[in-house]
Amino acid sequence: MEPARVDFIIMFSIATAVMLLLAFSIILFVIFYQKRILSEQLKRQVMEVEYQQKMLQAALESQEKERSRLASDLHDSVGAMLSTIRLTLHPLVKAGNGDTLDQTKQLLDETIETVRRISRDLLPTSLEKFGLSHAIKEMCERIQLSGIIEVKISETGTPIEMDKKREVLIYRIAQEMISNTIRHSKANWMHVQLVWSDTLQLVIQDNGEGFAYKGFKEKQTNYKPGLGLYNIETRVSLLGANLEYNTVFPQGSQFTVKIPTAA
Amino acid sequence: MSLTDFNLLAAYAQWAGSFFIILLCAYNWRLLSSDLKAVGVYAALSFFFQLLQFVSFIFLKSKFNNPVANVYSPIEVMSLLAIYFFSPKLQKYRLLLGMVSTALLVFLTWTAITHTRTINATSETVRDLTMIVGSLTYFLLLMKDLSEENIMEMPMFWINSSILFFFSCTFILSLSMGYIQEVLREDFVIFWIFRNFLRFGFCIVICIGIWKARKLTHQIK
Repeated sequence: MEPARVDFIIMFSIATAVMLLLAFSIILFVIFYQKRILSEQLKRQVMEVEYQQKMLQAALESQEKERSRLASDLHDSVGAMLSTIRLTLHPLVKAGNGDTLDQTKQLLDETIETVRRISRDLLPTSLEKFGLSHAIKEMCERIQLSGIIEVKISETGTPIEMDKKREVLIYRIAQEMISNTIRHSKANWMHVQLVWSDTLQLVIQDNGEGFAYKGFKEKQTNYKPGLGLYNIETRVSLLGANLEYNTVFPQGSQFTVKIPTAA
Repeated sequence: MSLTDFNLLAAYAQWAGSFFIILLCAYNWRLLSSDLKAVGVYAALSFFFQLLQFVSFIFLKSKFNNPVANVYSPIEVMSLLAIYFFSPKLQKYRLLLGMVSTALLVFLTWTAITHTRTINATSETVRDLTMIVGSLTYFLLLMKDLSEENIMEMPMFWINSSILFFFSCTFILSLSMGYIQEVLREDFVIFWIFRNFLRFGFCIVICIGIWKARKLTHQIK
């Protein structure tokens, strides 16, 4: 082959290879550019979510602190004062100064009991002392004793001790759910289940009239900022848990919260 | 295998490539967006002109092969630019694209009329350059307005990549077409085999793009 031809073929091959390489580089650049931009966007979103979670956690922690302060004030000041009044009243009742004093003492007893209940609800001391299972059981027993609704509580698996902050969040979820059932479901019994395994499953089932969860949420968002479900969902999200709702009208409803036991 | 056999194989391969695109587009016609339909039209035109060249090659001793290629050149550019014209990404630039297309049509038709006997290097080079600029512009707009979906799942990414890849590779060939035809007469076929195999690859990558469009539509449904 003539040298000029060989030269041309070499030049042609090099030039084509360069063009090919350029095209390939541009395509690769577009792919990696998109990947980089998307990963940056993702990072920003994760940071935003983390920031929001921290804000929510801070808000809930401050709420807990406020509750604790209020509970202490109620128990130590108002409760103590009421108890003193009761003690002062005792000799008068014993002396037999009539029905009015008896009624006043009864009213005072009820007030003392109410203050204790509010104080207990605000600061579940049993949660601090005996743990989550015991605190939820105690709450259920209290409701059962009040006669408002029949409450059955069951527990399977071995309880795992969690971080106290997480336990408080779970306790508040259970408290809110039970309170919702009592106030809105028109149920006459409820079953609270604690299932311990890799996760903790908190199941609250009732025989009330049930409700359309999605429709209810939309209504809350559109018309009034409903705090109940919002609080539950906020705490569920902070726990990294999963909330499921099932209803079989008219048989009742069932809320299941699956909570990772490790933070 | 002789060089003629290779030449025929490469020609049939690129012809088959166009046929695959037509089949895929026809089968999924209703699912395709306007820009992807334009790809189908481009493949159909390409298939038809290859058929004409085949007829000229078999029955008329290649007498009309070069004139067919020269007539096809402006039609190819127009059909390829139609892909960008109908692309939602370039909607804002339709007027500019229309003006460029008209200017190119006039220029390429004029060169096709004035140079019918040999393949016209100028029109081939202008075509390649136009398509390279078009695909680069598309990529720039794609990067400017990035979607969150994986870019590799976008049909137009594959189609645009294949356009950039193919026309970048044939650019040097188009540029030196005159020299090759005049000086390397017998060796011209080697370059043409290379070009036809490249075009086969180009068609296969376009087929991947159409396939992605089909998958994407099914996912949306």
